[in-house]
Amino acid sequence: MAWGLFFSTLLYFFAVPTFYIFSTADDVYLMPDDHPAKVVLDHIFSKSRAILDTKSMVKSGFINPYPRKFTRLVVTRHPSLEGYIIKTYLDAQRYYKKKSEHHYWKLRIQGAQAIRNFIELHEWKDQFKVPQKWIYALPETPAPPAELLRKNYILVEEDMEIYSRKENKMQWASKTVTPDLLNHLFELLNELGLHDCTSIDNIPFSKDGRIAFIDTQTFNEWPIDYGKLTPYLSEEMKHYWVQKTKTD
Amino acid sequence: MILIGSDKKYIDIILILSYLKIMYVYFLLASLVLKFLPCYTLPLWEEAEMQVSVRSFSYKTDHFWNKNGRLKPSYNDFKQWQMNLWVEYSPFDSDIFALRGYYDSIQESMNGNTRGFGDAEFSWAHRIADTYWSRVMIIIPTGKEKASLRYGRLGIEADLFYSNCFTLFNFPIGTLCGVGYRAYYGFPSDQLRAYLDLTSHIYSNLYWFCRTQLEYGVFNGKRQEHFNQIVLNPNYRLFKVQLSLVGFLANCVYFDVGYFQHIWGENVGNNGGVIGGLGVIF
Repeated sequence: MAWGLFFSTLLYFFAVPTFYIFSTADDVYLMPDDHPAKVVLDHIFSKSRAILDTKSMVKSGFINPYPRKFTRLVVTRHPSLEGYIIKTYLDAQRYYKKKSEHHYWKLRIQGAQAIRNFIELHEWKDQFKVPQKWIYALPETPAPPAELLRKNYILVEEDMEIYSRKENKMQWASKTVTPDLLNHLFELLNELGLHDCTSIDNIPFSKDGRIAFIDTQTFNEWPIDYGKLTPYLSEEMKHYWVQKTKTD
Repeated sequence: MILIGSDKKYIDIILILSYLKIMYVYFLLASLVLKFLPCYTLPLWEEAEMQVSVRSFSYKTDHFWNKNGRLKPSYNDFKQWQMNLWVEYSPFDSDIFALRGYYDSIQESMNGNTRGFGDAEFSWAHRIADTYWSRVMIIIPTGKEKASLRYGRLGIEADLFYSNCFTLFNFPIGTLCGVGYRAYYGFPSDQLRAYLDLTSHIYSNLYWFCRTQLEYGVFNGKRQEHFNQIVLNPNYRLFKVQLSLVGFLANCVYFDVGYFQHIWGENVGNNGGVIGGLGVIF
């Protein structure tokens, strides 16, 4: 009986999930306890159930926390979290494509890591950058109403200080975009299968002059629609890009 | 109570039989009462050969009844506009074939917009005796399952109807009551269905029409595969009432306008909406 008690106790500590459905192997994605943003996040999310719906997000101080058109993703900022962007789904939402939110956060982190490794390998840090990303586990309480599809994790990433949409368009049409930049960009997109990164909204110019990869969820997915980028280039670079993507 | 799993089939059958017994008793009582009441001429369209109608309804809500029937906020503004096409063909007095298809446009503040065709329904109603009708309906998926729009699953429904007419305070009233069982085999939940229609003249070409409908899920559907609080939850129950005005614009063209209201439910949205349409009788 004593052995039974001993083994059942062992089983409890090792078989019960560490936190919700995250396995210990996924801990690498979690925000470390000593991260400077963690204290602020703990404070915000322990006061109230901030991600219940858009009203609760606004009440908690988040800026413009409205679901995006296609992905229904909420991308927002908080005045207390300078230098960081928050990406989240709300408790009042269904799962996007029937997959839980942490599935997408893990993909984004993996995609970002793949891009980062490629940039470092080719020493293109002066042309491209990608944010560091972490998964923040929401506290168990306060909890949403039981009828809602509770979300347990949000994604926190570095703010890349990108240009506004209008300014970004101007950058892409300017002499900042050179054949060398386009060659490197093509290689990145082609090698990593960055299916969604031909939209300039996903690869905007940032204020330090580099292109930031801010949507890293989709990778290893081909074919790439290179034509999406063409309309935004200067006349000279349009011709270059079309030739480049046609022959390679 | 959710009953899932092949090991619980025995219990499933007992429970379903008990539900059917309740509905059968309801049906028998209603038909017995109505049988002995005096009759009047039924509305014109009962004698027609073919009927085509286009009907739309709009519905919105931001609350729902949870699995215990308690009203809760959904934190999600839900708006639905649906366009229905009905085609009914009656080659003989004793048979009616009907096909229904619909197109939905749904807007949810939290989940975005959803548009598309819902599952179609093809039915055959047959007069089995005097004022008793049977109906078999096949629910035909028009695509894969899509939240708020369709289950995307094949289903079958069998119903028994009783039609009659009576006078109440010198007002002639036509009635149709029925019970049925809709089966989906695993997802979503099977449903017991009950219908009660009443109609009567207001003026020569104007009628009022009242429908009460019960969709009573037996809760044997898989949970969470198709999460939805407002519409098309895999395990839901709903009792609703519809009141309409039906008028004839010409001998063979009619319109109807009305309002429907969800009265009670579980795992379904509350509130109601407006309904309206045009039909042609050949």
